[in-house]
Amino acid sequence: MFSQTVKCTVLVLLVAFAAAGPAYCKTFERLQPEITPNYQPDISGTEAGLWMVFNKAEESLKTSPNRLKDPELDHYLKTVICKLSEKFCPEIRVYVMRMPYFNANMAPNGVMQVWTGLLLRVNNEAQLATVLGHEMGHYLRRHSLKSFEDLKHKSVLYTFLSLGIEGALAAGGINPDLGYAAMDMNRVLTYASLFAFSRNQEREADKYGIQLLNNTQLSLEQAPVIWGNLIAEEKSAQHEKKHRSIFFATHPAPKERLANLKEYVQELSEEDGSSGHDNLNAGKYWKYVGPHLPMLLEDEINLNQFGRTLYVLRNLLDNNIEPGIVRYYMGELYRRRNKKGDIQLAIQNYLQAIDNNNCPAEAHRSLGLLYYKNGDRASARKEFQKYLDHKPDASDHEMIQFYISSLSGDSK
Amino acid sequence: MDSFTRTGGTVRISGSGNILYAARLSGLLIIILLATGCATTKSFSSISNLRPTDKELKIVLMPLDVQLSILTAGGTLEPQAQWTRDAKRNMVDALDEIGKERSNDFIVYKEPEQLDASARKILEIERLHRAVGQAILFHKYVVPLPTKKNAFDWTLGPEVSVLRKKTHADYALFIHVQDSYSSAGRIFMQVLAAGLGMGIRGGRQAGFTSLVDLTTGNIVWFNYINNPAGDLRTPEPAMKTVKLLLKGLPE
Repeated sequence: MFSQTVKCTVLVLLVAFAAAGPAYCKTFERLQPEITPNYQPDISGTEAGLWMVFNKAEESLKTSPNRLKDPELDHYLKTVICKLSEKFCPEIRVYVMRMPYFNANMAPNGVMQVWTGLLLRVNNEAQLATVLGHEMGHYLRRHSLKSFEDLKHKSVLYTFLSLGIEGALAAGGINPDLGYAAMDMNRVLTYASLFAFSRNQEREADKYGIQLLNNTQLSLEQAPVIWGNLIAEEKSAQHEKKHRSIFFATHPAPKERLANLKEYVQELSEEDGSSGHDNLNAGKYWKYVGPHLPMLLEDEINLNQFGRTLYVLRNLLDNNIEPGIVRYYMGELYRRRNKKGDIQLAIQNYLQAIDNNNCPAEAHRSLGLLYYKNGDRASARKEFQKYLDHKPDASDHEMIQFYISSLSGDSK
Repeated sequence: MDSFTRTGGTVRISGSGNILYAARLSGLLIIILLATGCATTKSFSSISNLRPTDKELKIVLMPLDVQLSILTAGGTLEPQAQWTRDAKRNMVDALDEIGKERSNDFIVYKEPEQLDASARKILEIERLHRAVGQAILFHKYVVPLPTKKNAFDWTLGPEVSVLRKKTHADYALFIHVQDSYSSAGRIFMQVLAAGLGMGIRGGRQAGFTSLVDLTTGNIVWFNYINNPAGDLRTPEPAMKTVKLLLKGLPE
């Protein structure tokens, strides 16, 4: 407290000397939750109606084929949520969905979805907590309800506008009722998803997220890092317009966001001297996410978005995450793109993969294929054999065996 | 038409919607089917008698897939939890009474607190029914499929046997209803539009019921209702709606 006052005074003095104009010391103004723990909305209100719809949706989520069912990972995510807010964590239900894009979302009834594409792009627990805290911010400030109320008012205007369209339809002999095909429950749902949260709500959630992160021992400095990485990933995919990130399609002004986050972190650090906020917990994070890494990378690579995927893979290598696995997928990335020089790059990556632990047996198969392509029959045969040695029950065993036998004879 | 509902499901947002993506089609189909006028039902049946033998017959009532909403001035549907709760209670009471009149045969499926493997399967079957029901609505009532001209051969597949094992029932009855009520603002808009010589729809009841053979999974009877009146919030009109939903159910 004392140090903060001193700092402020110094700053005020400096600014006062330096220039005319108002001088102030910005402090972090804390947001308050709009709900109490175990909150249940009044059954006669709008909010209860929204909860009803989302409670039903949660039932579908539970048995969704897209759900990644890993109780240990679920439990880990929950412990991170509890670090962020002990008070509210019991009522938040988290579901990991196998969706290879950077996203998480929060329903008004406390259901949180975390997508696998997000897990792949987060380097440690501190970054994960940043995103989870952001989502909890939406929940604690009841953003869904506010969006819905806002929408109701907007749609009145829409109806006035559509009266004109309807007149035209009727004049053209088309039953205006068909024009209402769009109006029903699906509209509520569509609106709920498409309008989602406003820019201001995103800002507020960012701020709340940092505030919650400050409750933990995790590094606040990691909060801007994740958004910085996303901006960089976006840049690396500039030539792949069709692969525009969903995240950026819906969350405006990433640079502004990054600046805001840095400011919040600065304010909070000044407040308590940033003591005790230096944990990254990367090891812990990868202990639970790591077992899924091959699947996450497989899904990522199948999106066929070279620049973006290359960025993600490099980021993993920079953080020294499973080079045996990551190098293999980098090899796959080059092999599948197959531009000039890519074969050589692919081979280099496979060889590096093999030098590391946990390299998938498929690295030998891919190497075999590329050697075969290059006309190096002896090496190809050797790699195919290694593949089968490492994976005797491979589903393509017969085919690879056929390759080996056709390579065994004298060169034709 | 507005541009929002036409945007496909590819846009995923840090909001709350994508988990509900699958539900989108249902309302659309029901609305296409709506025509003005009084309550109508239309049913299809591939059997006339549920009891070919003398043995006791059991029909399991699946959890009611019902939602009541306010139709706001702007045409947004605002789901109502209390109304929905009351409606379900009224419908269950009505079904109970009708079951007694039918001398038998209705039993109620209750989802267990802890979902075991078969309860999960049953949840999936409920969702499958919703999807198949929508397909029937669309292809039997709106755009007929050339291959299904005279046939009524929709099925949920033999996996429904899990429901038979769990409940010992011969058939399952699924009921899906969307029921909306105009708000004061909506009524104002309707009057205003009428003054301009146009029609804006008010709240209405639309739904479908199907009877599924739990040995084969075949939908042996299907009924669609469209009712611009009706009120599920109070017992007596709720009974009327339930009777419409079950109109033509084979004995």
